[in-house]
Amino acid sequence: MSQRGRSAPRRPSAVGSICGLALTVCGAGLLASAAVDLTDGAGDAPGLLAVGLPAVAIGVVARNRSALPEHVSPRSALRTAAVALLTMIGTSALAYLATRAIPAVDESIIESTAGFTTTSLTVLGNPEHQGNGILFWRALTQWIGGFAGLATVIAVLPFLGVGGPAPTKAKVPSGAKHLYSPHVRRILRQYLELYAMLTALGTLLYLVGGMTPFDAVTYAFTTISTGGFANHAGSFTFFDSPTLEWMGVAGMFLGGLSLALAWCAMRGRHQVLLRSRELAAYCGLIATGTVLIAVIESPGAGLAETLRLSAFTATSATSTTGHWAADWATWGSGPQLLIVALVGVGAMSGSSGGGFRVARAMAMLSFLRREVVTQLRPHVTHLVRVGGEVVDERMVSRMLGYQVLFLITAAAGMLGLALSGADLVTATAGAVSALATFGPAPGDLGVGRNIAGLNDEALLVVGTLMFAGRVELYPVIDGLVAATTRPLHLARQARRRRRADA
Amino acid sequence: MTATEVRMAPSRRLPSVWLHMVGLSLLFVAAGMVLCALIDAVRSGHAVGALMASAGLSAAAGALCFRGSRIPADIRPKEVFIAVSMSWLATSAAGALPFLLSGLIGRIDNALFESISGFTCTGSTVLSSADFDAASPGVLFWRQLTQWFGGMGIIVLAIAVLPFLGVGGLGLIRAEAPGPTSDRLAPRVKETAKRLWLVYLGFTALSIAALMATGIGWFDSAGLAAALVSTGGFAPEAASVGAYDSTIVELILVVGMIYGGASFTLHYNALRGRPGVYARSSEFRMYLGLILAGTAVVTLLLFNDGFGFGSAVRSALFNVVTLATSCGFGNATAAGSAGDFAVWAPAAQVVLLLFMWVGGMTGSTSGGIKVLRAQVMGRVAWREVIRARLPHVVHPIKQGSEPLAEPVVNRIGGFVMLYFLIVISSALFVTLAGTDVSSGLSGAVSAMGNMGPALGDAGPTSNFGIYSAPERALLAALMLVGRLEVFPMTLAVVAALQRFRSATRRWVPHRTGS
Repeated sequence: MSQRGRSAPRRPSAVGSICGLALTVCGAGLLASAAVDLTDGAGDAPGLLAVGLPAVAIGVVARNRSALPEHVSPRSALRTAAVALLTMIGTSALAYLATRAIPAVDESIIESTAGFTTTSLTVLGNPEHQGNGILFWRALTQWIGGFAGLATVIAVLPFLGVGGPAPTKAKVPSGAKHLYSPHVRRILRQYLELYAMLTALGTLLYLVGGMTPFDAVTYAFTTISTGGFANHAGSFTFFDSPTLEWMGVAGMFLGGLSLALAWCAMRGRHQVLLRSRELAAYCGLIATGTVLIAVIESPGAGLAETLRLSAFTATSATSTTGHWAADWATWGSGPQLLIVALVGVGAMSGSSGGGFRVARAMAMLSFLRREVVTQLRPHVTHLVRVGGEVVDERMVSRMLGYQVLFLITAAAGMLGLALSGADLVTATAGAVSALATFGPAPGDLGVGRNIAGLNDEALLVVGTLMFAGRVELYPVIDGLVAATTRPLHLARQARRRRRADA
Repeated sequence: MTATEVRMAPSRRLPSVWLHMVGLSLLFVAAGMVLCALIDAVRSGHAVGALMASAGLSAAAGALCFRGSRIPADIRPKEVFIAVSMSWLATSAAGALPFLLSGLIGRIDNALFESISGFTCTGSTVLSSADFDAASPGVLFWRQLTQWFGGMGIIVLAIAVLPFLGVGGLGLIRAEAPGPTSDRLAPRVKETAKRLWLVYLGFTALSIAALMATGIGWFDSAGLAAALVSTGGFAPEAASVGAYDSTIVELILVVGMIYGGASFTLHYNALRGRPGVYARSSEFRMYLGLILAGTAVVTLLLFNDGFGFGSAVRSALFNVVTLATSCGFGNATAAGSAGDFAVWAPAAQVVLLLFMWVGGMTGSTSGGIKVLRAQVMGRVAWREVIRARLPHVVHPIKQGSEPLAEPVVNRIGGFVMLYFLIVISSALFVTLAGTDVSSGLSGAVSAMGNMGPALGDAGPTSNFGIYSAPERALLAALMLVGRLEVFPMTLAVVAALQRFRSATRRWVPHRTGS
């Protein structure tokens, strides 16, 4: 993504180029937040500027000094994705510290991580006490993070041969194929335009629903990105408006929707929407969740309220957003586990949502069906299909690998949380919820609870899980493996050298 | 799976395979009931009549099925799956009779639950300690014996039948030197079963002798041994092994459980003078390694939690082993005592929960997904990590020294994913029916893995009476599904559905044909 032909020689470096871009974007965001801050005069502008200006400066210089190499190895693509996200988290943490919005280092880092990973866990018990500039920046981190996650899937995973795991082809129905041009950059720009359009749509919905313009913009940021940060401690309960809650349902639904499908919808290609099995499954999950919650928990007073709160919770869970209109942490254990299950499955592939992804779950079911049927008819070739398209056997094998990795990561997170002292339920649900970038979980991570009270070990585990979930596991696992195998590798090399010398 | 050695009959259906097998199993069961009636008479119990009546009913039904059918020349895999599922159901139904007729368990569903729990070697009970006091010794012994019979059935199933049919990919793993099927002990199921039963009988006799030497009496010794060699987990006392509060008994049981959770094929080969097979089996090494690592971690966690060192080691070792082998004995002397892992530190509970998923070795009587499959899945995950860096690398999954074919890896992956999916959906059902999350989740994991105790309210000092009747029915179904290695039950259901579909829509050409 370089502009070639300027005077200064550029070093080909993916990390330099992409991190420069990340810094520039963050810096620009901070400057915008400083401008917002000036409107209400909370006094955070100097702090925001103090971090924003250098960030922009360093970012621009880094971009000018480096160029995206012609060929990026998978390993360096992974590293770039991880480092870019870390850069953004670091910048944002600095901004929180500089403005004294969050004075503790660990808390500001976890708040930034939750932001850029679009998780709704927060250390701010009372966001209302913050100035508009900080709140705007907080929402913006999620908006940027949502797109960064999407970009990882589109730009990095194909390098890994996963092609945005097997369903990539299947997840974009045939009518939308030309959204995938050979040039990743153009695709990303198209996606960004769509993402911005959806955000504008969300803002409009919230404005019509009766939010103030500031709330409308920030809530749209955190809704379309499936982030879930709120300007008010009560999330959607603050507004106490059925209309707004329905608007929230619509917004979160859009957030978890595949952008390729959203594009089709905007172009009026309803046929594609109807043909998409992933969309049908996504809607089915939300509908099932809504009905089960409504029947078993009946959260509201009347039918309308029950339906609204159930739909809100189910949509928030499936799209992994984390906004809430009812405190489901006080519900029965069944609905709570159901919410965790919905969160685990997660949003559609090609959306900014997290979780295992609907398409992958469908591929897994098709795979299971194949494995069962093959045993009944061993001599017949059965193929794995997603959305009507046959999945290549190599992809099937990679999907299986991803599934196992996902489960192992969740189990490791569960163990980590338990070791930090969380009880069994919190550990299990919290690990799934953080890995899916949802946030709250039954137990000590309950709805609307701020996580400042958790100990540092728990914060570290939760932060790592959120990070891993946002970048589709690979960069984090690769980093962990490199960190453990690198010393061994170096030792082996040294031994070999010694032997050669002797 | 490529060609199974079962010859594929082109079209003729012979429904008598399952009938024949059901008849045979019922006759075995009837013999066991007669034995229990004798024991009841010796111990002056009050259930001789009930046991004899049950034996008579079972024997009559068994003889009718056995004599009225014959094994056809050609058997299709589907029929074997159905036969296996049916014989477990039939024996479980017959096994519930003594509980009902003796009046120990009043409700038919609870009696069935207890019987299924026994025959699947699970060890989850609905009996409270008051029930134990009221029970006649013969019926209690029958309860132990159901597990022993279940273990015999599993030996045939796990070592001879399922690998033969390639269930869960096991039949195709020939790489592992003395693996589950690599050197199939004899070409024919009958021979294999006979030899392994000999190992099983010897193991039982040795266990009884060792336990009697500790002075806990022949009745308890025989009862415990029956549950031990089958990795069942019922105990003749309400407090399970905690009733003896004896380190030596627990040590004997730990050794026995580790032996019972390991592959019987390995044992057979070792007994024939090749003890090196243990060291050569990578699954066995992993099995022992997991147990040791788990014990060490849990010991540390318990020590950290304020246990004395000796007490921490004892509780950790016993309970890790009991769950890693899916046996499910408890060594808690009372609720909240050292061995009651339902009140341990959460991290220790999570470790135990992970052990409940894995279970013992293939070719043993233990449950869970099995160490071998977990190993293969671990390698699949590792391969994915490698592939992330080097997308085009060829990286076959190895077990032992030879690479596994991709379809085998897929089959094992399918098994693990199906297992996971079934457990999670069941846990969801159980919690939606009103149980709390930790009891619901761990109960489903425990039932599917044929463990016995769960966490939360269904811990080792509690019983499964805490679940409501529909929840218990689901858990009992899970025990059967888990016991039969998931696929046979699934296949029986799928086959039945397909038959139903083809019967109702005969005119629609079959889709999966090409």
